[in-house]
Amino acid sequence: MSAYTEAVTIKLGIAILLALGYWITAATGKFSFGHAAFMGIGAYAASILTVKFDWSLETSILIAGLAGAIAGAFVGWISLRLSILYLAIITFAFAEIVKILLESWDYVGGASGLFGMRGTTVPLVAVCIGIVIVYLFLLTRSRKGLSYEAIREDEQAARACGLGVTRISVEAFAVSAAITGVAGALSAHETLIITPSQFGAAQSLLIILFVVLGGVQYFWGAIVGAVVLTMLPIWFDFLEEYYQITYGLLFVVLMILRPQGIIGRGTARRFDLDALKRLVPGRTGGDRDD
Amino acid sequence: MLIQQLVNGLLLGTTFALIALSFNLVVGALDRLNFALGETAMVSAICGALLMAQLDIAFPLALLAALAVGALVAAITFLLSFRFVSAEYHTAPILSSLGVGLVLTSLVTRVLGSDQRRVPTVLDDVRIEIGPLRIVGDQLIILSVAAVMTVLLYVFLNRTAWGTAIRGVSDDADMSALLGVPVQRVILLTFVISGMLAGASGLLTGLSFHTVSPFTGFETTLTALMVIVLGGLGNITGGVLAALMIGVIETLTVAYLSATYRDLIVFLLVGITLLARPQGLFTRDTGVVGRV
Repeated sequence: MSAYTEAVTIKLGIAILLALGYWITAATGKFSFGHAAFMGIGAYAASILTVKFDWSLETSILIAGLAGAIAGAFVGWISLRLSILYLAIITFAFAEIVKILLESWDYVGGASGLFGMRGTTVPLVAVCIGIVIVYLFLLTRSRKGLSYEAIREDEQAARACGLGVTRISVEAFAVSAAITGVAGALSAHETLIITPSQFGAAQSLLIILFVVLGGVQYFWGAIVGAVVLTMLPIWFDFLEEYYQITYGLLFVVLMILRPQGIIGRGTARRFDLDALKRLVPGRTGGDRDD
Repeated sequence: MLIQQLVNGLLLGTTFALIALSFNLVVGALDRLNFALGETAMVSAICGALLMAQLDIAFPLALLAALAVGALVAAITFLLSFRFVSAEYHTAPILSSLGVGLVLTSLVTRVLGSDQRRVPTVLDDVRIEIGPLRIVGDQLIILSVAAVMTVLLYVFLNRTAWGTAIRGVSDDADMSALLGVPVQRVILLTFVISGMLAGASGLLTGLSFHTVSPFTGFETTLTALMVIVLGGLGNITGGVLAALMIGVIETLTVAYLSATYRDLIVFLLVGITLLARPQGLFTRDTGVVGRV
């Protein structure tokens, strides 16, 4: 395998891992807007262990997952009792806090970053993805997977059926953060240098876009989303320059045309041009139709 | 010195109050947040700054232009991210408006360049000194524009038919529709007003720092989110009080601790508030919080 193919494969694998991790919390209908923070926590936890304490990469990755899980459980515990708007606000703020703290922590190089990590290999990434896919395969066929779906589709009905909605959501959020932490650790040992600004809002939005593009109904939809969004800028060089506009427009267009993602069933809803007419003055009467 | 910092903080708070009002209006009307408002403020501020610095247009006209740009951007955001998006998907408007924000930021940097824009001083020779306290002309402008806009908004919401309609839709959209209120048009009007407030806030913030950067959109959104969470989602008075509070806290932190801890202290404060009083500091009942 040439160095180029290897780099692309690892990049792709990490994107898939990030998408699968995010899918778990999205499967319960809880969208986090600061998942890059868990990625950063995992990346820094593992890098400190390998660079400063000479631990082996495998153990460090496990610790990175654990660090992600603890942070995820904490954030989930604060925010998942409230509505999704609060979840959005809190996860946004959490990601900023993590970034500010890392930037002012001189031990890990502050804003200029930490370097000297290496060792991520294709088999290592493949093993991680394999474990996660097996877990998701079992999860989606278990009662717990059903309860995730129930919470996503109708939280009140799920609560009425006796599901501990908050507990299940927090658990899903923590597992999701753990996988994201592992992905962060792997990516840190691939990119050789990590800076706090890598784990900002742009990265969080990219992770969300993986899952939103693929759809939340099936976990392999997230894989599709990750592959498409990672390969697009590699196949089409010109996208690199316009990637922010492309991603922004992708969000807008997707939400209008297929809010359920490319893959997945959804209520059929065509682009509703009549809605424009209803905004034009001249008609009387109430017209709230949603 | 302390009094000077307090006054500076309150003045910073007035610009936060405008953007918080802007967010709160939308939350009230639709129970949704428009995450592109920070970028809306940025675009308006850049337009206003360009008009003032390059074309020598007087501040009042530039302010009107900023208001118009803000209104236009907010109306487009409403159509793209809220009107045409299915109400079944609760996260869809959040993602979509974030997307609009991304597009706005990159459009501005592509078309107008990514450098900071200078906002020239408006009132150069005006200065009020009361003992140790010193207030410069631009601060007076910020204060008076913010005050006038808040009062106008208050009068509009409480004394006009359309204002009553906005409050009605915010309270119970279905009931308003039954009573013959054109709900969608009222929501569009709410977005336009919120865009104008965001535009004013953007240009005034630019005036207080004398620069506008095209990358501040997301930062503005974050600050506004902190303010409205602290004051209680959808609580207009609470939002204004929380904005003044955060303005003072930020200024005091920068003056007496360090600029790096500015955001951190605000985030921690909001985090503690969320744990102890999720409905916000200044809200008695849950109100909108129960619905969103």
